[in-house]
Amino acid sequence: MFTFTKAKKAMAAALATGMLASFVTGCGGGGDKKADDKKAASGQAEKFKFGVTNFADSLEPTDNYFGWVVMRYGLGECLFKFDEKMVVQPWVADKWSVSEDKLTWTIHIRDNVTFSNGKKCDAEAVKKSIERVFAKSKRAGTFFAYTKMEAKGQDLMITTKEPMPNLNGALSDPLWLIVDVTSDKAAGGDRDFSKQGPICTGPYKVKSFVKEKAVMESNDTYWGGKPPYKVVEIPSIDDPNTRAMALQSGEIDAAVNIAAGDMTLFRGKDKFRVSELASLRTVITRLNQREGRILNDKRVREALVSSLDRETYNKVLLKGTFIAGKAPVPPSLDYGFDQLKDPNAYNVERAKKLLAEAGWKDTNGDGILDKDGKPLQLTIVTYNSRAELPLYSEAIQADAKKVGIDIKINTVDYNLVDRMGINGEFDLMISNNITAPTGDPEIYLNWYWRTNVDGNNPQNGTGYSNPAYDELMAKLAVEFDKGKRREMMIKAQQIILDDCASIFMGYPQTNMVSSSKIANADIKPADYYWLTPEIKPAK
Amino acid sequence: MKGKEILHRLVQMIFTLLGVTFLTFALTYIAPGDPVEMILEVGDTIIPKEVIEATRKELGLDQPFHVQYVRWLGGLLTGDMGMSYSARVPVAQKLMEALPGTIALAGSSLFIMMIIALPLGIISALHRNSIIDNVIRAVTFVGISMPSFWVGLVLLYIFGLQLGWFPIAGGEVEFRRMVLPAVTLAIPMAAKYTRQVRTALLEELNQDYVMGARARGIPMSRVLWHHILPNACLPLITLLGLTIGWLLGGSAVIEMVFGWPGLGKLAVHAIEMRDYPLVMGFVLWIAVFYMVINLIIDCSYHYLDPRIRKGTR
Amino acid sequence: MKMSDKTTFRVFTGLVLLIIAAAIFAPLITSFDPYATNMKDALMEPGGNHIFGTDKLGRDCFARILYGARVSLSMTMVIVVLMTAIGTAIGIVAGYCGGRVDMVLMRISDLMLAFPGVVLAIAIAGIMGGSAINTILALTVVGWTKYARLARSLTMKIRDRDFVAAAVTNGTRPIQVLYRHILPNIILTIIVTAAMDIGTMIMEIAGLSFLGFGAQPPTPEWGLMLNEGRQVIQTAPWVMLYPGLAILIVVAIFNTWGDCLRDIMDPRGNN
Repeated sequence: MFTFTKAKKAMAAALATGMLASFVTGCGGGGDKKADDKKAASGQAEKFKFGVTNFADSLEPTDNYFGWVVMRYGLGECLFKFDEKMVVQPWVADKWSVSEDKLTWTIHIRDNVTFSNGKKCDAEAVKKSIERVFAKSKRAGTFFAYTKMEAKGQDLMITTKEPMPNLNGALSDPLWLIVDVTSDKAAGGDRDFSKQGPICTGPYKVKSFVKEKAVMESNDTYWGGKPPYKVVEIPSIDDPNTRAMALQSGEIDAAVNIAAGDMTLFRGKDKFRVSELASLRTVITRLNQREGRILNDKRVREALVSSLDRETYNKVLLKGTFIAGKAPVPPSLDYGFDQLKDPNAYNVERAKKLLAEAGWKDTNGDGILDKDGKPLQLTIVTYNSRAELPLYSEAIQADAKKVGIDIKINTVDYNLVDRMGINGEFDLMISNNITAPTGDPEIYLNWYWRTNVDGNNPQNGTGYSNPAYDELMAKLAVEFDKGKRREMMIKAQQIILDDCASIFMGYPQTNMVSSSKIANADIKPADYYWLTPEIKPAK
Repeated sequence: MKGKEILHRLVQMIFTLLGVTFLTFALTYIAPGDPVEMILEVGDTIIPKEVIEATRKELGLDQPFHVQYVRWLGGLLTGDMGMSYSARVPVAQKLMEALPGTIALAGSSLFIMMIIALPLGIISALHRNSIIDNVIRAVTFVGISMPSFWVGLVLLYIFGLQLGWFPIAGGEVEFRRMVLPAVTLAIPMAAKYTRQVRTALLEELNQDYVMGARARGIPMSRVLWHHILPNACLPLITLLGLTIGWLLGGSAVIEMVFGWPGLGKLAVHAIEMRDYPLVMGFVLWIAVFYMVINLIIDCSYHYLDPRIRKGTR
Repeated sequence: MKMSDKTTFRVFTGLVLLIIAAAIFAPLITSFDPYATNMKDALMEPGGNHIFGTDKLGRDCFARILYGARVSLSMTMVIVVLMTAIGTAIGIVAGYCGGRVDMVLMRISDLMLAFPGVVLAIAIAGIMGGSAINTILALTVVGWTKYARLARSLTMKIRDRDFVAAAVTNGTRPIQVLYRHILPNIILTIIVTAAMDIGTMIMEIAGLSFLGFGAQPPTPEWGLMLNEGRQVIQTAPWVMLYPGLAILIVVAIFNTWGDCLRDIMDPRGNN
């Protein structure tokens, strides 16, 4: 018996050191990648493998935000799209004009556009597609409302009740991607949009789709010319770190959103091509300030925000891949970032003072402040699919602790976040949000901060309400003048900052990293142009 | 005799299953969250109170606990496990999709376990207390003490990342992708099983008949293959049943580490999404599967053990 | 043979005490606070002040592992004590009373044996929401049946012995019989079994935390630390290396100690 146990001990020690050694020395070398992008006779390359993160269970574009995925996968296209500067450009439409009274838009559909089933895409088809969105999505109404829509050949006329200065921007959102309505099973067609994907006009069409992996194939009749790949495999690799590993090992040719910490593995390496861009996103921490919540007290909100060293989070923890947050709209959009003032910049002493003023004291010496026998305890809701969010949450937790605020982290699935936000099931909720879904931040500023009366602005689940802000947003809605719009939106942001309505954590750089054998895998400011027909084998 | 016993076991199984259904149903009943809202919600809309209440009535979710339970049970009997909240498809369909992944992974890891554990256990027993025995026992000992998910990470780091021998991302059921998770699962099982093979063999080796055969000059290899191994089979098969239980739980963790598309990963996501029908379906499936496996193992006794077969024991 | 059994037992008891002492006296061993973040020093390689490096928030990994022993060991102790106490109490009653009480209790325990414990623990902890308390609850609910069965069969073996009968005829109340005469006779076996379960429990707690259903940040818990380490496996592999080694070593020591304890208590052998 005793020899055995002795051996056990020795073995345990030996194994431990062995493993340690193998770690310290590392084991250099990387797997060779098979060159599977050799050109076929047709002039098309065989296969492109694209690692993404997919939140959609189905490809029904009007469900949830699933339209994003339909567009990201090179399947769906809108009438218009945004260029690198977020200026609206033609896409399925090629020309447009607005009437004298600013109420009627005339949009001309490209003559050579067909759906992937060969059917011609005319104004009537587009009209049906837009009507379908209104019938199926409750979100549709937050973009625009029309009084009349007419189709004549390739011309689509949309009349709105109020002037809609940004209608073409609104129609660029993936919610409005054009589908062949007649092919929908629900309309008597033979296609189950959610499982087989809708029939659209993009360069690729669905071969098979499950949440974990989509296989797309070339839409040979694409109006923009034959797509560069016969097949595109799109596995969903939710864990950002695994995505980076898969790209390194050559399992995939390109990946989106490599985590901040892993970027050093790809930058400046010959084998890889990195496309990085200051995004149009903001990481927001919503603060639930409804009646009865601890954060209803503005002083506590201010104290919380002042206690956070956002500069360090972004420069150090996220290795400079995020810009430190201040205002609702990121500096990549020209909406007065530099002139806005954040009254709640990092200041621990001020945070402590504010909490004391608000009546919070540590009476039981546990390091957590309390008031009327209740501890200063808050919950932050977060999700995992974006690597920076848990990191921010834990940084908030650590810094808040230093001024006596106890924060519990509740990690939930991404699909629950939206609902919990709407229902206000949180004290703090951190999320990574787009700020310019229609090309400018108007909708975004409305969604989260305009007063929510009986659910008429569901995205504002925090209970924030300021009549001055609402008034400003109402004026903005009918203003066509670009300069005035900008001024209004700057003013609106300052109100949000002065009211300490939310915390703006930082602004991410987005990225797409690809093998150097792939050309044009560029990330765009708008977050839904991933698989474009420009992505092709490098010469 | 045999048929009667199996019948008895089946009846017992039905009662146990009833208990399992009750337990899982009760668990999800007291769990936080309103199922109606989860069913209705598409994510970005607020649903009027009236609609919520109407749906609640329509689905019978306003009924007291026992009514809901009986109704759900009735559905189960007709094979209806309900709809998944998150995916909006029948639970059974979701489970069926994930089943091949888990079966492939479990099967291959059991296979790997066997080809490691049997030879090592036999060698260890035959050379009892020799150096080789002690080395094998020490290795198995470390194997038992290692957390499997950590082993997974270490293998991933060395063989996936540094050496690049195996793919890293899960996503589809494919042989090369399965190697690392299967090995990871097999390691602790093999360690445990090696020790059990050794113990079982040692017990047989001490039996009189082995001494007798050896005394009569029959070669050890013949004794081993013809007498010892067949006799040692029984306890080993019992232990296999327990191992499969561990495997079903362990695979959930390993599937998460490697992103392997199986039942375990599905279940963990279902829990994160509060998709209770799916969670209940998963637990129920595992319970049924586990019970059936154990029943088969018990039945195999009758076949394998002559003493039981002849009713002399 | 006998002597050396005792020697190894002593050695491993020493090691067990060492682990416990390391957990209790953690503040004396390291000057770092496991919760103190120093974000400017995030993800530093092992060496210098931080012998195990730092994690993503610049916390000292060595301190976190050391304090992690407190979390793991105390949770394990609570679980083991709870499930042994509950299981033994139920088992003794079932074994002593027999009849209908026995049947009901044993059917419940059958139920718990009907599916793999880990699966049930994941379901319970996951649905109730991740926290240390729910982990303890889940693992106890799953684990008590083993002790109930053990205590029951041990009780049934001795309940018809003379000394029990004598106590009953002397008019001792049943509860007294159970407590004074039966419990002392079976408690050793129970304790040995419990000792052998400690390693498994440490591992299962870590597993639940790894999945996100156990201890929550910023608790220094080994499984949770492994999960965090997994996210930086490429750039900072030490964050996941050391917690894993800690689990391996501690579990190995507790397992061996349990084995030795059994060998000493039960000289008959290996089962």
